[in-house]
Amino acid sequence: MSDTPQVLRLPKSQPVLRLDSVVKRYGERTVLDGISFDVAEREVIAVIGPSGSGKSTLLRTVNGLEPIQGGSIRLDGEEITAKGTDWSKIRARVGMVFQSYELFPHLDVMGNLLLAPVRVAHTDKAEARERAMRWLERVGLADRADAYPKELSGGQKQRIAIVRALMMQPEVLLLDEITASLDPEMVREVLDVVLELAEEGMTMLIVTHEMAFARAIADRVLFLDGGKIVEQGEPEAFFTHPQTERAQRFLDTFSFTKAREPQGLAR
Amino acid sequence: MHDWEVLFQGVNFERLLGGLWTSFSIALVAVLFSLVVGVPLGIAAASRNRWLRGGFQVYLQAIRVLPPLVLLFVFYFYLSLVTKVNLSAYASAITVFTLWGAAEMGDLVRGAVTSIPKHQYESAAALGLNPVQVQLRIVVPQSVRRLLPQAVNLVTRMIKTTSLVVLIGVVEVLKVGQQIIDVNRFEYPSAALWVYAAVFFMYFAVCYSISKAAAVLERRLA
Repeated sequence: MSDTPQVLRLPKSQPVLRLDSVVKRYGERTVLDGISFDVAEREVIAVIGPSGSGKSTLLRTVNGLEPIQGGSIRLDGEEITAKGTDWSKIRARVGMVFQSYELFPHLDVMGNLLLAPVRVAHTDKAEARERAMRWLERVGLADRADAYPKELSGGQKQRIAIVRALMMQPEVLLLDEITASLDPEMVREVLDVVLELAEEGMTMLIVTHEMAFARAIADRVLFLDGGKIVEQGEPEAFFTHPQTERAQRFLDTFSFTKAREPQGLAR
Repeated sequence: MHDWEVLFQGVNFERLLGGLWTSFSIALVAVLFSLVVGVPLGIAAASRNRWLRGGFQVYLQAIRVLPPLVLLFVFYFYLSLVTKVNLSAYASAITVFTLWGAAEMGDLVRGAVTSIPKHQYESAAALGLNPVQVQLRIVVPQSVRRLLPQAVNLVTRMIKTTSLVVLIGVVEVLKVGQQIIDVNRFEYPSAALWVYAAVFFMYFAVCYSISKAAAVLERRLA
């Protein structure tokens, strides 16, 4: 294992992330209404909830893609929502993967992977290339290093996007509905990569609609509705016995009961 | 005796080439100025500032509704009437073609920059690239790729439209051709056919090689 890349681990006594009463407004509309929670090192948190509940916005506040109007966010104890934060520096430490992959179409896979390590982290190019190749091998795409994004399948693109974020050796990884635009048969190959990262202790904040995945991977589930954390808890407890009626109703939308009697010849 | 030989009598062919260079040099200088003016203009027009956007639209639409010929007349004849500025025909031509080229180039740049999805900016920013790096490494390279085919199209249109400058007295390739035809009308009755054919091939050679070069460049960038 020594030559395979590992997620970066730092000994820590404090939470990696601490959100305190985070408020986000678009004009009159309040999207996040006082969100507070901690993310411990190596913890995997799944954020679920109906669309429009503020899940993605929440993720985007953590790396400053959405400025907040109230509360604070701390990364390793340092307040990153304070005035004068150099977001470029923070973002180099917080990886993010988007729903629509967003690989850079004018760069090949290697170019996508090397851009930030070389230009932002000023890593030696040969060294970064070596790291990239090891990651590519791990996600089964070593033979696609010279391919351009348009030549890849959705699942391949998303695995590359994950590796691109990992190349910066982030302290936290934010995954924003990373399987939502994938064909069903490609979801697995992407989620397997994430599961492996979780096993290795990558700290992650995952927004997802894949309930089975959330249940399997998360140490904790946050259920968001209307910009508030309505319920949180261990996944097993949450998914089998949600404490709130709102969460119960949400989970019910994922299960189907037979609505009609069997029809046709079989009768 | 073949009539096509008129093309190579005396210095006729050199004169045609000289005329072609006049046409081409007007276009070339105007294209260079158009890039210098049009690129920042297009970036400004892609900004969120509504005054910049609106101002650019007024300029662009004004240039679009006016025929280039009218602009040529305005700058060559009218400008010297109302001001002390007396532009030569060549300078008027370059001014007008620059005004036109900058407007159209600006619009192409604006279109290319605004067509880059917001998520591209965000995913670049999320990797820690600073705003300058996002522009330089992500926006500019992608914009150039989107821009190239239309920009080349614009350049060839500008080259072809330079044939209008004959009307303010610039002796360009077409004018040289007419002069050659007039002089040789009796000696070579079908001179017009051959001279215009030569002019046709000259325009073709210039514009087609530009298109070809652009196609190669595009493939290399793609």
